[in-house]
Amino acid sequence: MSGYETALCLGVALPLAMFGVLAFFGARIGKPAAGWCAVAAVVGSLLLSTYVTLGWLGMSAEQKSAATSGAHAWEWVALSVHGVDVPILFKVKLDALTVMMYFMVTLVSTCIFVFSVGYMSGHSDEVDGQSKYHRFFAYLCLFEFSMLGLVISSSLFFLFVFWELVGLCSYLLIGFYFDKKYASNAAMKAFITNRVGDFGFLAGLMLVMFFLHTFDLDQAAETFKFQAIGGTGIFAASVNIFGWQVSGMTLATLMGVGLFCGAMGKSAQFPLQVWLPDAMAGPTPVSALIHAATMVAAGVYLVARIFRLLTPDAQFFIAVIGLITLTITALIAIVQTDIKKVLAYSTLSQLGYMIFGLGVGAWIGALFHLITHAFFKAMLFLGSGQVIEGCHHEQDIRKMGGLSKKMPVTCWTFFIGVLAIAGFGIPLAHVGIGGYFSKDEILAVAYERTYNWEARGFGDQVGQPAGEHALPAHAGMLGATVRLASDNPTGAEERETAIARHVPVLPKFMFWIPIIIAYITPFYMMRCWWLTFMGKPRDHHVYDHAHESPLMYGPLVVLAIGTVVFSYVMFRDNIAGAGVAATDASLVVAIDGGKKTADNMLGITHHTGHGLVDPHAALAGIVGFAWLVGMGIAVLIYRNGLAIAERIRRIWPLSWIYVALEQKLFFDHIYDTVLVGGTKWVLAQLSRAFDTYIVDGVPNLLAKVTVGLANFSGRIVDAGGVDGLIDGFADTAQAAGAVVRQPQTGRIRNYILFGTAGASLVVIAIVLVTYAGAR
Amino acid sequence: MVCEHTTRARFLLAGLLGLLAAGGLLLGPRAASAHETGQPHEHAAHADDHHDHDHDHEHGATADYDLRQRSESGGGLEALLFYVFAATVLGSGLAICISTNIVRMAVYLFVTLSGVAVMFFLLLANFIGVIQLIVYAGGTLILLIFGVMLTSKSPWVRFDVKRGELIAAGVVCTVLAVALLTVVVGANWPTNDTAVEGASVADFGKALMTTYLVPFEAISVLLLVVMIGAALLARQE
Amino acid sequence: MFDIGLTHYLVVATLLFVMGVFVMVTKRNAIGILIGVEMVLNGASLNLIAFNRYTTGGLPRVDGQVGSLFVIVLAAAEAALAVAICMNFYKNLNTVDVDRGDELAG
Repeated sequence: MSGYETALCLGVALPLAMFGVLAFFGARIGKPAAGWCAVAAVVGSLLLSTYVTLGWLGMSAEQKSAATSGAHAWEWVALSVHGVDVPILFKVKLDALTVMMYFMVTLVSTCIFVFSVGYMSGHSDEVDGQSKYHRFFAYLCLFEFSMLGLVISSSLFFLFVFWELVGLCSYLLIGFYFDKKYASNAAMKAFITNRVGDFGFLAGLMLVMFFLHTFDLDQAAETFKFQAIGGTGIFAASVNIFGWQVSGMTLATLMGVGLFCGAMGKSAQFPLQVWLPDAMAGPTPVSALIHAATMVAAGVYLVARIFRLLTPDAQFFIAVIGLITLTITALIAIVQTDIKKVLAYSTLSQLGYMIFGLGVGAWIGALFHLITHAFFKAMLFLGSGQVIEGCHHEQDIRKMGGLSKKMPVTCWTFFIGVLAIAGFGIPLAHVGIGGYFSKDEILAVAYERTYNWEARGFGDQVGQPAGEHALPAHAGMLGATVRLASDNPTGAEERETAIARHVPVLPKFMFWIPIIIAYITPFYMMRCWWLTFMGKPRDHHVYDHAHESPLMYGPLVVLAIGTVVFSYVMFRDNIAGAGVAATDASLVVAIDGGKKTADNMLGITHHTGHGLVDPHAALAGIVGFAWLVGMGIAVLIYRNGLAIAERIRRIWPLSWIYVALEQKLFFDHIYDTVLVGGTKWVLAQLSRAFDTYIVDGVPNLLAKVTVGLANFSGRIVDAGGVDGLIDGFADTAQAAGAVVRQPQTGRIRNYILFGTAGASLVVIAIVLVTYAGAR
Repeated sequence: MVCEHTTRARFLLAGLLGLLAAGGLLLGPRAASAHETGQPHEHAAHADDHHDHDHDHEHGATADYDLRQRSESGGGLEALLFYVFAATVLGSGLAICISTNIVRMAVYLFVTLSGVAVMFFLLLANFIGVIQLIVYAGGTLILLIFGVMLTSKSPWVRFDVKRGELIAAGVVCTVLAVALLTVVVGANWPTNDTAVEGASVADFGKALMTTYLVPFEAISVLLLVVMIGAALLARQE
Repeated sequence: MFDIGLTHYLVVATLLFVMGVFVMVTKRNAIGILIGVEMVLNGASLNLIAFNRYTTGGLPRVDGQVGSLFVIVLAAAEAALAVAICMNFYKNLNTVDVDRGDELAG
């Protein structure tokens, strides 16, 4: 199977090569040619991915698992951690999820690249003379390379490397119009917010390295499982926050949370969601590709990959974050007036759904939603790009209206996207597009976790031996626990019972809030569409100049078809097939929410009785026609424009709520004041202290020291010491002289006296000597 | 009033001195010549001597009367004269020390000089005694008195000396005196007390011209120099 | 005691000498100092004469007396000079107090 690996790697390398070409020779290649070169590269990747996909679809299950486990690995370098070698491996993770993601990314990218060939010709050099056409495509190729590399990484290390590369490309592309302050600020904001998330990612990565001693996803999951069973390693490490031990939590939970932080940054979850709306400052194809379809999906992809490294607490945390995100961003989307901002917030809301889905255990559902979302969101963005282009860079939907007559293709493809995001479908008839099936799956799993869980014997009763509600062998750790208990009756049973964390019942609000949002989503999307395309034109200047360009039809149509088709075909089944291996023997629950359960995963209830309700039936009643209700209300309110909406808005307390939502719930304000202001304040204090005490202080200190030294050497040493010494000598000599001078009175009488005294002494001496000698 | 009793004291003093001088002049040689030679004497500290050698004298070899006389032990008269004139000398010397008036000091000096001259006579140095009286007492002293006259503002001026200085001087001089007296009294002087004749002036003159010629000439030159020097020093500008 | 010997005269001469020194040291009048000098010289010449009288033996000798003569001559000469100096002193300092003349200059 190395042929497929080679194909995938080649598909990654091709855009990189084209990036090099465009970076160095792009200027020479010229205007439309650079774009077509990029398109050629990505089409090449698409062909390779098609080849791999088709091959993959044709393989049997045994062949697939053989392909996965038989992938070649090249060791790049081995780190030594606590004496254990942690190898960093080049390896392609060849499984269904990779193949599907790869295919989706290349297909959507191709459409967008083709769109941007025409779009950017009017949006680069002529506009400001600096946004170079070839530079855009070089960046797009670099992004393609990074995204594909991320998708095929089997090692968390290389996933992180590509993660950062994708962030870099996002920065470069958002800030494409770098001479506009707004755009460069948005780019910085995106990168820094990403970085904040990456900090958590790195912390989690370090925990993986230290405790699991490997970066490879499969091996890490294996080690994690063994440590969970044995209560060793990361499960033995308690959490100490500055000496305060947090009870009931081990570093395993923190590892999961840390790795999720990266997803929070990349997929713009609460509280790091602030960068995505500002990222709309980039060109529309960028928004379509990166901030709708692919890069933001990388976070979801990451969570899906590390599913087996999560603890139930971490998973619950993920669910809560996802819930918060999808709620607040949907509410903010209601009041947006910029067409791209509406789409941005809707992206955030759908990402929240995906994360929420992974949090409640709908692994397959979340990833299916990812795929379908990629298609229709990309289409919606491209449609909005057409609208903006056609209205001569007018983005405010309040100024549009009635464009359906002028831009029909755009209008109706956009409408298909609206239906997809609203979850259009006939309940229980298996008719629907896009979001209907995927959102339905997520909500079904949530329903199962909320209402059916206890009736199924889960909740606090896990660990009991079998019965009719026996868990399938692969339903996560739960199954493994039961197996181990029966295999090893002595002593192990207690430990496993303690370890086998009960999979808790979901609180009711965690089911109902997404339901409410499921009503709101069609509302704001319909509002956006209606105000843009229907009704009477509100700004005739805009209306008069509106037009469509045929070059950009193609991608729109392709994506529209993809949205419809892929709702049914290929993706979901293959992801379901990957789901088994991806969630096997994990500590957290993974539930298949589809109509047909995959063989080896825990599935939702499909029958009623014994307190069980079929989730799909229940959901059909609850949200089955949410799309209709939401869209209907939107049409009602906005049918004649914004007049009714204005009146509603003035009703208190809606006016206050409106202000709060319009200010994006003050996130930007809070972050700006607290974080940015706080950082600037700290840096200012540090700089001031540095300036005062070191830059000023050191010379001042030196000056003082010098003055002190000068004083010392001048006054004390020189005047006191040296002069004092000399003066001391002089004074001593003078004093001695004065003393000695005293006999020199100048009086002759004294001299005679002294002489006489001396003479008498001499006489005495002679007398004494004589007498002494005589005796 | 001061004049009066000083005048009286002067008269008294002059009279006393005159008496002493006369007595000395007259009796001195006689006392000196009474000293007998030929008898070896012990050291002068020997205390016996009242033997009367007065009568053993007058060998008187030569006819002409000269002053060269045989000395004999003068006996009591010599002793008396000696003590009297020693007392005079020392007393007036003490008076000089004590006195504060320069003129009185000069007068006491005169008495001292005269006493020393008498002692010279007692020591058979007649010529020197006379020279002493003439040159010293009559010349030098007068000179000093001239000096006093020319340099004093008032004769009654007293210059007082601090007591400390007096004591210091007294101590030093006492020490010196004691030292010298120790030597003088304790030394074994090689005395030869054979009768010796007083030298005559002729002998003196002969010695001066022969043995002591060079010092004599030197002294002459010195006198000349001194005269010139003194005249130079004291000249009026 | 009655036998006057050399020692007696030497004692007198010594005492006269010492008193002369005392006078020299004590008197503030310049002439007083000169008087002291005279006393010292007198003591010396008395010494000489005494030695001349008591240690010649036999022949008459005049050594001491010649010495004494020279002393007298010198004393006279020196007194003359000294008086001249005193008069100069008096002329310069307008006093005869030797304690006033304790500086070399002026």
